[in-house]
Amino acid sequence: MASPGNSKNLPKGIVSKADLAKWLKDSEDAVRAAYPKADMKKAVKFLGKDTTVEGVFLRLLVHSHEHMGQLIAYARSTGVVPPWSAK
Amino acid sequence: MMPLAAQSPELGQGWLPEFELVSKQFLQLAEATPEEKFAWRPKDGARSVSEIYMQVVLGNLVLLTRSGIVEPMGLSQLPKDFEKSLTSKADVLKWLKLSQDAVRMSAPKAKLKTRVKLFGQDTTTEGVLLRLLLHNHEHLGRQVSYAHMMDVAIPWERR
Repeated sequence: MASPGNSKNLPKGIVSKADLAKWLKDSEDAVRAAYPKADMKKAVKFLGKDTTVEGVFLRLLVHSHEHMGQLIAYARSTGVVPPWSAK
Repeated sequence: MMPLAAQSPELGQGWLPEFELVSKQFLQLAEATPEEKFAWRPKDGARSVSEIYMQVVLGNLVLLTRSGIVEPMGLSQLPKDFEKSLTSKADVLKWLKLSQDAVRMSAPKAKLKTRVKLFGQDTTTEGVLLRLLLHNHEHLGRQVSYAHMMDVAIPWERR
């Protein structure tokens, strides 16, 4: 399996539970490894606009939360209770 | 479809632009949702469309209080049974806008390193404002899924 360090390595057709879990964990590990070493005030381009590394990390975080919310709704609609909400 | 970046210059630009973007998306989606869909829920036991919007209102107002900035306008007027009594599209939109204005007016003036308590834990005003932003995005994601399930087009995904 390709390394998650470069999104260009992301193959198509990742749909199985095992593959999804692996890629999710690998991508989280990539963030975990990069964040503490990042120069937050460094100027970077993002989607064609000037910003900072900190701004991109914030976008990464809110993007994760938006999709977690989507997945919670899908879980609820199929009768799956989010584990942290289960009594 | 118009590229996301062209529609959303706030992406990646920091806390306040991200808050403005998610707030705009909530209002656009609520406006695009027919009145009768505000009571829709995907399954018994799951929150309805209006209940999720009102959770966003509650999060905005309560977390502003917890951030130690100010007692935000509106919180004292929020009925205790707000999830059951504020369910119409007009009420939801009114309270969403009020809570967003409260954040917009207070957050830029906040002293981010002030130490505060949140859920019994030591943190900073900055940490609480980050939680407020993430709470918005989590619930935006839920509303996007609900909209897809109800066949409501997502306004910012239109061609």
